[in-house]
Amino acid sequence: MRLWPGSMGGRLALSLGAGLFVLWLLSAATAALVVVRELNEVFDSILQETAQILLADITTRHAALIEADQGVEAIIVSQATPHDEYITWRLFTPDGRLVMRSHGASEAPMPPPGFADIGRARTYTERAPDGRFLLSVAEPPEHRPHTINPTLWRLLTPLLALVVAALVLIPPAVRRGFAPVARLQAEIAQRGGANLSPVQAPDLPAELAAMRDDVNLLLRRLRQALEAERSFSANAAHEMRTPVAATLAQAQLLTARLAAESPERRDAEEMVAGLRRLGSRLEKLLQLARAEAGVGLQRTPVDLLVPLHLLVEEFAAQPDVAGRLRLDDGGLPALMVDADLDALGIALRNLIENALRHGPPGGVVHLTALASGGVRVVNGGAPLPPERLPLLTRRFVSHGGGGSGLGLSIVQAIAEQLGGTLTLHSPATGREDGFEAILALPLAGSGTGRIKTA
Amino acid sequence: MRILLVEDDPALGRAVREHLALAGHAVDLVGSCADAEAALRPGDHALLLLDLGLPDGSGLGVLRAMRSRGDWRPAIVLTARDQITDRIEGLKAGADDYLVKPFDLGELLARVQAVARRAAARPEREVRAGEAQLNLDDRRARLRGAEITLTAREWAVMERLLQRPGAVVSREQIEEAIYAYGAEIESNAVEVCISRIRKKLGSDAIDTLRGVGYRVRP
Repeated sequence: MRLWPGSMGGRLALSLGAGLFVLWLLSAATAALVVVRELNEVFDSILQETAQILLADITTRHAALIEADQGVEAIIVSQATPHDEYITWRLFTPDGRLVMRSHGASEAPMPPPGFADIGRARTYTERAPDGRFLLSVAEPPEHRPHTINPTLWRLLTPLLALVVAALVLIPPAVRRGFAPVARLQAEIAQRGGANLSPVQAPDLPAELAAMRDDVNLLLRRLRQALEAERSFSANAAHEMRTPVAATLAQAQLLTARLAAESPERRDAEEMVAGLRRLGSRLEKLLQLARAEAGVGLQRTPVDLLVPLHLLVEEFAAQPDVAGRLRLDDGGLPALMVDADLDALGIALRNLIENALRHGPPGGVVHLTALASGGVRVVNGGAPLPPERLPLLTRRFVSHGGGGSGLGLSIVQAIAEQLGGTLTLHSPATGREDGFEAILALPLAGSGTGRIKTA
Repeated sequence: MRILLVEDDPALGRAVREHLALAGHAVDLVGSCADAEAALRPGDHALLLLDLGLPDGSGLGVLRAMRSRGDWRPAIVLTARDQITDRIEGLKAGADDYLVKPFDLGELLARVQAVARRAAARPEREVRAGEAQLNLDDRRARLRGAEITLTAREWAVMERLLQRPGAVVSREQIEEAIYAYGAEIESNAVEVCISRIRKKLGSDAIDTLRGVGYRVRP
């Protein structure tokens, strides 16, 4: 278990609790010391006064007995009723002979004058003004703790109870205090994917309100940028594709009208081929523009099999592709990934085009849906030298076969935006030849489907 | 075959018209949704070539309106919109095929002929769905010689699918067919019904095009 919590609330609660406990320890110790010292002073003063009063009293009251003292045996003065002896006394001659003692007093030698601790007992010894006797009073060892300890307890227990109550109340109080943070956090966590709406968290404390407004400003800019990009590429697509389509159609019409084998016909055919190339370059540039502008940033759960089946169907409708695409969807009912459907479509289209173009003529392309979230595209052909693989995702580096040199770099850019990866292998896994591209994507609900800021 | 071409770019429209004319088709060219609606009404065109970005709206509106009137004449969408969501939307609206600009005139002609061929097969009342044989007149179905009984709702679905053999019919359009038949429909009624039909007529009787809808392969 980690001792230092990760959350601000946890940290605050822990430091508050620990600080409070340490403060309590310090104040409890100080209070105890002061109380013990003061009480000891009181007890000492009582002991001293008792000795002074007793000395005068005893020498007067027992004058007859003292006069009759033979110096052989100490006289024991006993009270009429039995009781706890809090204070015992002894009367000595200046040379230390015990003359008289109270009931329960010890037989120990005479303590020095003034206060002394003999054994664990506290004693006070007072000399008579005429110097004939010394009176020593003693307090039993258990007497003072017996009085001081309950006092300390009564003093410190309520304090301890307060600290315990505070420790119990701190976590809920901190949680309550941090509730607006949690609310804001939950609101922000919902953003990403297709949800770029402003964060709705009213009644926030001033610091958090400022943070919310900044987040909303960023979200608005991101939304505007994405919308602008989407409408630009939609418009650009329409504005450029239609004239190219018209010119291509006219060139084809012109070609059809020219006599076969004539030089004019050959020129016209070259023009048609050039226009077709222009059309496909245009398509690639629009795809690149979309990928660059972050078409894959808005993510929602989508079924990878939908674009996969649609694209296979679309490609299979082309006479020269029919029968070359083999799709293995692993019998999955659906393969939900966090992605943007159009971005996914662009990436898959490029993978398929790449495999069809660079595989051997008429060679089969295998498409496999991966339950781990992604798709594997394998085509045949001679294996590529290992040092060529990293170059394949570089822009405008064509690798023969009439490609634009953009296809795999577009796939790579989209894979990164979708929080996925593009891995290339040659020869293909489990084969001695061919080329394999794996597009791996986060499965829907795997928690990584958030906005990537990189 | 008489074809209605809806295209607002005159140069492209003329070139397509002339190319199709060379192949023996009569092509009427219009440049807006309104003109397309007007031209479709008499019903003497056998096929529709439809651009989506038209000056007075989207060609998809024309297509949807046509399908909701029960007009099943084949339609091919010719568009600059190349995104996968555009394609799904086009097919769901009832397009038989979807061609992205710039396209090859030869390919366009091939698609036109393929779609027309599929559509021409429709008047047959004795049709195939995978391995099953269906007679729509007396509502009898046979699978490998054995007589199969379909419920009225299942026939409604099959008839809806066979109105455009080979073309994709969206889940919503099938739902309307069941609804028109007058039954209470649950949210998964279409899926349940399709899976029952597959159990009876074989799994290849109805094809699923993920994310778009269902179709019967002729």
